[in-house]
Amino acid sequence: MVKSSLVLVLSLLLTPFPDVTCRNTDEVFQEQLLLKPLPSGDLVASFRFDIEWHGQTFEQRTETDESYLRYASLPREIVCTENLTPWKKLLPCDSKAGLATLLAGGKLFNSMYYSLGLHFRPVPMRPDDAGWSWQLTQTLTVVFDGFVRSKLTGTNGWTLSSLFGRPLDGPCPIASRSRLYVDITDIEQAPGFSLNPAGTTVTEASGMDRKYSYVLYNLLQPSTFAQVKRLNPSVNWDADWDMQSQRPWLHVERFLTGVGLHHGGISSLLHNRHPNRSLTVHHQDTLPWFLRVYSHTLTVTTAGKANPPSYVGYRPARDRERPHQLELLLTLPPATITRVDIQFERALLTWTEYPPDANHGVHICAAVVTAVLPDSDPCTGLCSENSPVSFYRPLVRDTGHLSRLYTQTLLVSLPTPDFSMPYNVVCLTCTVVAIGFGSFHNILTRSFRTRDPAQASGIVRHLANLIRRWRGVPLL
Amino acid sequence: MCQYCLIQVCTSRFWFNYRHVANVLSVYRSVKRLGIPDSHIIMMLADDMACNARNPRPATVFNNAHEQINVYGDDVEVDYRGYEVTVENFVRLLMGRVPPNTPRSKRLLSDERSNILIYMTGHGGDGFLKFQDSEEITNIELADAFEQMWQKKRYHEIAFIMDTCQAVSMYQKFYSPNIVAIASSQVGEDSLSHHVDSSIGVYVIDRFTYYLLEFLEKIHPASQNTMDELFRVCPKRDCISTPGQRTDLFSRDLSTVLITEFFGSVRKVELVTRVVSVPSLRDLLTTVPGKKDDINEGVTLSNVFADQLPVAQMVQKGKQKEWHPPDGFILAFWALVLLVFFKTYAVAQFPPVAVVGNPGLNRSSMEIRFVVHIMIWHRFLRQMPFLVTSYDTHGYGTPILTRTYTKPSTLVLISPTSEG
Repeated sequence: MVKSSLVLVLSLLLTPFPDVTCRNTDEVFQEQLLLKPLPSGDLVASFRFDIEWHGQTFEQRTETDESYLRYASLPREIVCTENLTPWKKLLPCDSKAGLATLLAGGKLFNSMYYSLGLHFRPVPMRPDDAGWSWQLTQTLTVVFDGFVRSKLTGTNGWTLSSLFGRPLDGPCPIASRSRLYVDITDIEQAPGFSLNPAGTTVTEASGMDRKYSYVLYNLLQPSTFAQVKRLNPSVNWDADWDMQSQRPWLHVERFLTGVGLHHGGISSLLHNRHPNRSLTVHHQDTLPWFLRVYSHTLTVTTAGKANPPSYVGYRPARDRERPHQLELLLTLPPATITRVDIQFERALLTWTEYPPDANHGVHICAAVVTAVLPDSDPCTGLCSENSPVSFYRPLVRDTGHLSRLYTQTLLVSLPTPDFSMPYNVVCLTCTVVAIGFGSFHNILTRSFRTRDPAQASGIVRHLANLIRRWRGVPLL
Repeated sequence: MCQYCLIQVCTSRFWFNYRHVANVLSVYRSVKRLGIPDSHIIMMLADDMACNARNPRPATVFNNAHEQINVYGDDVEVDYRGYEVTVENFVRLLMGRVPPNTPRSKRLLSDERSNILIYMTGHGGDGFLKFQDSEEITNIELADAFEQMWQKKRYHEIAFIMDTCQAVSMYQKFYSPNIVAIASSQVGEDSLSHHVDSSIGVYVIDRFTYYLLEFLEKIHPASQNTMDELFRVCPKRDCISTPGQRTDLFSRDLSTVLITEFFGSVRKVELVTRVVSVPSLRDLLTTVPGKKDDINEGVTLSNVFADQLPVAQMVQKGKQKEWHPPDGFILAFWALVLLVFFKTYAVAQFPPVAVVGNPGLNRSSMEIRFVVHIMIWHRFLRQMPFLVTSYDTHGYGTPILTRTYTKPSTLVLISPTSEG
């Protein structure tokens, strides 16, 4: 099953970032690729391209001004090479040099999951916070199917060219940072583990006694390409090694409940996997107006017991004007699963409002779950000089990292009218009018007289008479 | 501003219309190869085939069962996709009346010197082209859109290629100058698809486009092939349908127009070593060559432009208007008038039958009414004229005729002794 999502979030978050690392004013373009094997056998590849340039200085805001926050979401966009092409054109080196040479549509979209992202924000300049610069971050995440690959190759392993179709030739010349990371945390203890060519091993530790190991290939260092002309890391390990991967603290799923085309429900499951810390999450949902949501059916339960949210913000929809907006502030107890349920009824749209393929259904936007995760989130690496920045997480008040998760989009079947009815009505009406009125009209306006049938020609009459004589009926 | 523009529309949705997307992408590839850049190409694909869940080879679209060329490629740019491909968007694109925040890639930036190639494919019928299985554009709308383009000087010449069923009907209503049209099948004929790729499971290319591509593969930017060769690209034995063309609106002789004037972006560049002095615009405005009158001193720029494109001379023939019998509302109106007239006239001609009932002792008025009704239906079913006049009896059987249309000529008496 191929999943795709195009995340185009233009949210100008004007929160200050008091403690920000991994950047200095000289760096303009950075690129990074992180390869990480998953316990399921799949492999996730995360590309990240950062472009930063100086903007004009403006007043630094010391607190979040909510009136500047805008949120827009497109539930469904088909992502294919036609999206990748203009996305690649934003890169300074396009797809001619550096890590972007690996972005070939054929291999990328023949995968389990792919996601293109574009993030644009102002960031304070370092070392002084007087000025601001603009940062454009382009991310691409692909999950390659491990089952197919391991059956084909026989072992558990991969090479860069088997994933992307080609090895790396070199960095983007104008990049100040061009790195390839291979996450070997889960597999370095595996029997039969081999990785070549050798790169720099980077280890980092976070709280909770967790250690992460990466192999770093710095493409800007000439030593990376000293032995081999083209960099093609290959990793192998025994297929029966059981990976003990650390799972993220916060995980969200969303799905539809109910049967039929009238009623239904939406359920969100929020998993808090932290063993002893409870998380405060902000759950935001935007539902279209034709799903008539009943706010009195909103229930939040944790392990069977009610867990009322600390804040519920609900703005009901107005038909054809604005959607429903539901915001919840939830406290998730440690090591629990919280369930948020809400019921809705489907409305009938006018027949011109349905899309051309009305029976496909409509897509519902993803819910956005925002949380401040404790410092020791296994999904983020700490921003040291050599560590990978899998996604830049702004620190919030030194207590943790801001994390924003998007749930799955839902596909809701709407009750559709019979679109052939206008045609049927026209046909039926015309038939009734033609037959009913037409025959009545004929009777009113015509007089009928009998007419002698035309005499058949001689031969035909002779033949007909032969038959008639045989039959014994009067002759013509 | 595009001097050589290409507009491509694939109007079909759903997986089994894979071949229409392959048609469009193949022509796109050929045209890009001949030099028209993406910024001058507007591509409208109504559905996504490459990353469709049913595509066994994601991110690829093939136009041939051998699967040698991936026409989707690595650098495709689609301007209108999915639900955006509607009749309204297409017509707005042609006329330039797009919403103000439309990005540049979705606008047709053509002027009076642009040669526009328009290629449309999908499902069509007699006089219409179906968009996305939910709406259609008629040949009259298309002709009017082209006329608006002409009035607003949005094109110099248009080459219109249509690969649908009954495609010839779509160009029959054109009336603007400088349009050459090629269609893949006549009215009443279907355009057929070429072959199936059994590994993908659908037809991958249409016949007309397949042979058109075979022809275009031989074209390179320096080719001297002319546009009239396009008319012979697909003979009946290959296409099974009969392609048609329309050249009466085109001002130049098509055997002198190169293919690359529409399909490619070939401009004639001549390198000169001598210095050429270009007169300034003021000189151009004040001195019109050949006229030495003082009156023409102040000739304006608009006059100079108008002379470059003498419309009256180019449109040689008048519009060919065929007379069609009236249809629709006018027909219904006149039918009603005639009906009323004939009814009133015909009614006067009926031999009316006056039915008089005498209830008497044995027959009640209900019985009489019943008999009367039977008589009416009897005559009705035998298609004989009848007319009912109402009657009444006052108790003792004296019939009174209360309402007649004309003097009755037949009198039927129902009495206790008659059989009715």
